[in-house]
Amino acid sequence: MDARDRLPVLVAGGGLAGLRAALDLAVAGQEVLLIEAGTRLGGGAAHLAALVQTGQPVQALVAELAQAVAAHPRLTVRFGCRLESVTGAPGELCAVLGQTGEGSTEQIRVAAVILATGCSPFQPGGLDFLAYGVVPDVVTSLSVETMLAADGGVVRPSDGCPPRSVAFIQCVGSRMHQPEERPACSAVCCAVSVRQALALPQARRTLYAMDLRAHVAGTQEALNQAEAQGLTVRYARPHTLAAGPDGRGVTFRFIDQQGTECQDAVDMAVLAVGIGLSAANRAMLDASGVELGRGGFVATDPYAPVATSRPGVFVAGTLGGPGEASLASVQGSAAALEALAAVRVSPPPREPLPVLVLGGGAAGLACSLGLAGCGQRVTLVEASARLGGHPRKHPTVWKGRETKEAVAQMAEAVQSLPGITVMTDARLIAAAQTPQGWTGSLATPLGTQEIAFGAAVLALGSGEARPDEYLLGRDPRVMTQLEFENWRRTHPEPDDTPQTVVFIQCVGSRQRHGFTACARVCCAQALCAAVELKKSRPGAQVAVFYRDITTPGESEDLYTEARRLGVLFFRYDPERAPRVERLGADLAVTGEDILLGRSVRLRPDRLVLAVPVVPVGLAETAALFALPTTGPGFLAPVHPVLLPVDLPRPGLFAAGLCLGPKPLDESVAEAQAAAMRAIVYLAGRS
Amino acid sequence: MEPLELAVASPELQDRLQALDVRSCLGCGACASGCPIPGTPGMEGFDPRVAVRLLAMGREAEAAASPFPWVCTSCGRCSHVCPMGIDLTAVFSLLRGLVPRANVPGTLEKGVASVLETGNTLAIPLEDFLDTLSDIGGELAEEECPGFYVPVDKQGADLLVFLNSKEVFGDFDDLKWWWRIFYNARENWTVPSRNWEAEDWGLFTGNPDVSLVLARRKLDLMRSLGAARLLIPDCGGGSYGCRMGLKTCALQDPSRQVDAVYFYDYLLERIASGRIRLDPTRNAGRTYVWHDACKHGRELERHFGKGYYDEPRAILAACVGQENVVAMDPDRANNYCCGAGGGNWPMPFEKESAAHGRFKVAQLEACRADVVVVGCANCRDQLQKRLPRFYPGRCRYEVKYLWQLVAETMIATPWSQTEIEAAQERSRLQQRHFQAELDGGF
Ligand SMILES: Cc1cc2nc3c(=O)[nH]c(=O)nc-3n(C[C@H](O)[C@H](O)[C@H](O)COP(=O)(O)OP(=O)(O)OC[C@H]3O[C@@H](n4cnc5c(N)ncnc54)[C@H](O)[C@@H]3O)c2cc1C
Ligand code: SF4
Ligand code: SF4
Ligand code: SF4
Ligand code: SF4
Repeated sequence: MDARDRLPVLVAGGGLAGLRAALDLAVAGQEVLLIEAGTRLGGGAAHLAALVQTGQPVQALVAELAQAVAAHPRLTVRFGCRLESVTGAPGELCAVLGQTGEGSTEQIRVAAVILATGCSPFQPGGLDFLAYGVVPDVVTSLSVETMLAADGGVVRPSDGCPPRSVAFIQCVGSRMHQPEERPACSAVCCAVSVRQALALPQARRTLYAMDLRAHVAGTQEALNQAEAQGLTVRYARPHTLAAGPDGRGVTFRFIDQQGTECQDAVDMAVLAVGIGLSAANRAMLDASGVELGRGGFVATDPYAPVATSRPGVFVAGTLGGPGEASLASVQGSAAALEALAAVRVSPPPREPLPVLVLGGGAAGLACSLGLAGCGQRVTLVEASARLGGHPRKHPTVWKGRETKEAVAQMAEAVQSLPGITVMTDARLIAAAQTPQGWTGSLATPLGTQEIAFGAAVLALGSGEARPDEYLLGRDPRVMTQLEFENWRRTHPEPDDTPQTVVFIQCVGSRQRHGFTACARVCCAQALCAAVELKKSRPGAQVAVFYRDITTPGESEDLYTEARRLGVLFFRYDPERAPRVERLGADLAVTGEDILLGRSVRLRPDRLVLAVPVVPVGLAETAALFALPTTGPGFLAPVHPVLLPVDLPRPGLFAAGLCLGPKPLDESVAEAQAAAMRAIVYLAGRS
Repeated sequence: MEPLELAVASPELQDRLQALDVRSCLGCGACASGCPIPGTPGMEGFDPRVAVRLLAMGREAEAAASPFPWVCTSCGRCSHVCPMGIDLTAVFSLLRGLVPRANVPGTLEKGVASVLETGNTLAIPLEDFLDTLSDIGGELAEEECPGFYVPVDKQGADLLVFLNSKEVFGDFDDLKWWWRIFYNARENWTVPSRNWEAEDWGLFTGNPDVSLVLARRKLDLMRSLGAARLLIPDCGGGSYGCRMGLKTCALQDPSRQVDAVYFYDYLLERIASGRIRLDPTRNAGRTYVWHDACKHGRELERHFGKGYYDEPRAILAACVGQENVVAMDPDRANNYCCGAGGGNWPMPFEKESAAHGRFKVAQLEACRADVVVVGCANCRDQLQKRLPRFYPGRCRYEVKYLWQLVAETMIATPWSQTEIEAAQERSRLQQRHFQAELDGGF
């Protein structure tokens, strides 16, 4: 055996991402050293009172995962141990570790590194106008979370009484450029505040937001419920928080959207603090030569979402950008896959059966490549005539990369690898479990073909809804986002660029009934298109009517860029949505500029509707495998946060849009995670 | 109302607005929540968010035609919290500059024309100026500072001092506080005979070219008089404009860098070195509070990296004893404006300016200080003269300048007969010199 085989993979950080990565690697046969700077495993997730995704506590599940990690023979855990730097070449990296309390450091050689050191909460003391640390009843969302988790009930600090009124103040230490540069959206704090508000039903609750971002699964439903219970969402930012009478409670002034001066007096104000890299970890990344992105988190590429700028070093969890816990799990598995591929010198014991990957879109391709990279044989089945998925399903450009090109490259790589058998024009029509795994029947142009597979990854994608709204289907100028993207592709010249384009967001999503969820990608997609339009024709009039601009994490950048380019933004209340009609030959959109208090009208050449991603053709495949689906009909994982790509039948996994709407980089991460989970499953079985 | 047709894209912004990044505005309203304008009668529909939105949409004419740019006190409580870090006071000062000069309200534009032409906003002629200095200086010499006179155009002084035209015009007694300090500290100081005014009305009218002219004049005087240091004046707009101008001049021509000392640092220096000795027992029995002028604190910090919060408090504590100092809430960088910033003492928006002051009045009531100590002439007038008229019975405080307090607390260090005689001789020579100049049909 090569000496390098014996080098462990180093996983730094024992939060959800690190635990998942470490356990997956160990089960797959890899030696792992997990270091945790603190004294216990679980990281931030161990402190959560409940998950917004499920409404249920999560501590027991995190503890279970931590126990499995601690018990695994191929896994060594060291506490009080910090990663200080990584240098060297892949396969033989040098990591410097520091032990808490001891001044000394130690150098070890490792085969690959997974950085999962997470983030730290923002300390709001520097924002004098929020009076944190001065007014006793101004607290952070973290302390409310701790109180909720401790079961003691939430009380205000000044007198230990349960608050009868609470103000949640969003975006504290996120989406800001002064006094510190913290431009990214912290992605979970809206969900957290909504969940916390729901947990305080006896109090009068007001949430002060810039945008209420409901992209974390379960948030919009929780919001609907909280609003039905009396939660008020106000688009306003309080300025100077002061103590109420006798130093108890909090009072402040704010100006509402209409410009009216308002006062609020509450028992307690909760600052929804954002997250960012700790100074120590910034230094660690700096010493390791790992590049950061513009948002201040580890930079990654949308098509290699867990690879850092240093070969052999991967990233998972919030260190790579703010995100919910489910993403930490996904990225943990994805990073495990990348690390496994990076350290592999000889193929693992050959699994006799291939893994079936259903769907040749971006997720299916990434999954196949990931599996093949670890020596696993793959059968890739695509229903249409060619790989690459429906080109219309992707924005033209995502995070600065041309989508079509990147997907085409993946398709080419898939076709050139000997370990991957590609079958196009083929559809699975039957599946059955056997003692060895699964068998299935494929309908192909050449007739029915029987296959056997050890595990399967469902990467079936989804489609766009086509609601009968805003003249969609009745006027050729009205298009869905993907129709518009597609139209732009065939009309790319600056001269083709329409003079006036209007986007209407949340068309058929975030409803009180039916499709309740936020469709997650449509805001970023609209902004990508808007930015592209403004760049190709600066004189174009581009306007977006929106409820909340939902650009979580580092995609906040897009929103900022769009504003800077002169895209106009008009918030609308769902009760008073913009009106679309034909005025003579013109298509007219009439809405309100709430901030200026006047109605506005545009006569667009194109009206682009943000319709949600909805399941298309999933029911059939789900039925073949007897899989449960969620309310709207997406595939339901075993656990949305802890096992987000595992399906509740042995050996079955899923990735991408068939699990729900998400941006491309998350689909690719899920694809890699599903590949890793399939490898783990097969290794655990053999 | 008919909907506003947004047929064409907003035009490209003019370079300076673009550079100030107004289009990055999120519309979050944090600025408005900290601004005194919403809730001020007559200002319905206007706040900084609205103004920025109009500018970002290229509708600056609408914003410039409203009273907003003038009623805005440039206090900077808006920019203080703007998540995008937009320098809103710079934006609104630019907005003032977009107003046709004929529409500049009140006496501001006249003042600017006058300062450019005559060297001071009130067009006080040289003869009157010298007479005032000599009369008021003479009074002071008689009352308590034998040998005192105001050195004018003295070559090689350690400190070049500028004056507030309000004081030269009528508030004569206010001139004496600084003079007593200079006398007792035995300062080698001087004032210029021309362009002696501290204020910068270019700042008030949103005209950076004027500010630059005024700063250049100060620099030229430093050079021609061979003075060692320039005392950065006390007047809010003046000190701030002076710094802005000095910074721009130095940027344009590094050789024009001059040694300047902010008056707070000057006072602290002199107290530390013992040239000013204080007797805090004189002020016992009353409580004092420091009012952070926007342009000495928050705005200075934003534009020059350091706000003067601690220095004035140290001087105040030295004068009255820390145990007699109380605090306003909020204060320092988040302090409320007195309501007269940005030229709103002389401007014809009295009601609005007084309404802005509602926050200050409430703050002062809550802190129950007997004496409010200030570092700016506009704050002083607003607190002492305007707010009590608009809030009868609620302004139970006295207002003092910080240097007034220093002068009142200072232990006199009498001059020797020789010193007195030498000064009297210099005063006579100076008078003769200017008499000749004036007779010469100057
Ligand atoms: C109040 C709150 C509520 C939330 N609610 C939800 C929710 O309802 N649903 C949801 O999906 N998500 C939620 N989240 C987000 C979720 O908690 C995170 O996405 C997830 O915990 C991130 O996991 P992680 O492994 O990336 O980081 P962490 O959990 O932060 O783990 C990082 C670990 O690394 C260790 N470490 C740090 N530096 C080093 C070093 N140099 N060397 C070694 N070890 C180091 C730390 O001690 C820590 O244990 C919430 C977050 C917060 C703050
Ligand atoms: S999730 Fe984003 S928008 Fe919501 S509070 Fe956090 S930073 Fe603000
Ligand atoms: S447009 Fe889409 S991403 Fe934006 S808020 Fe609505 S549903 Fe969410
Ligand atoms: S500078 Fe002061 S008065 Fe002017 S807009 Fe800002 S907060 Fe309002
Ligand atoms: S605080 Fe800044 S971003 Fe927010 S509305 Fe005001 S100018 Fe715009």
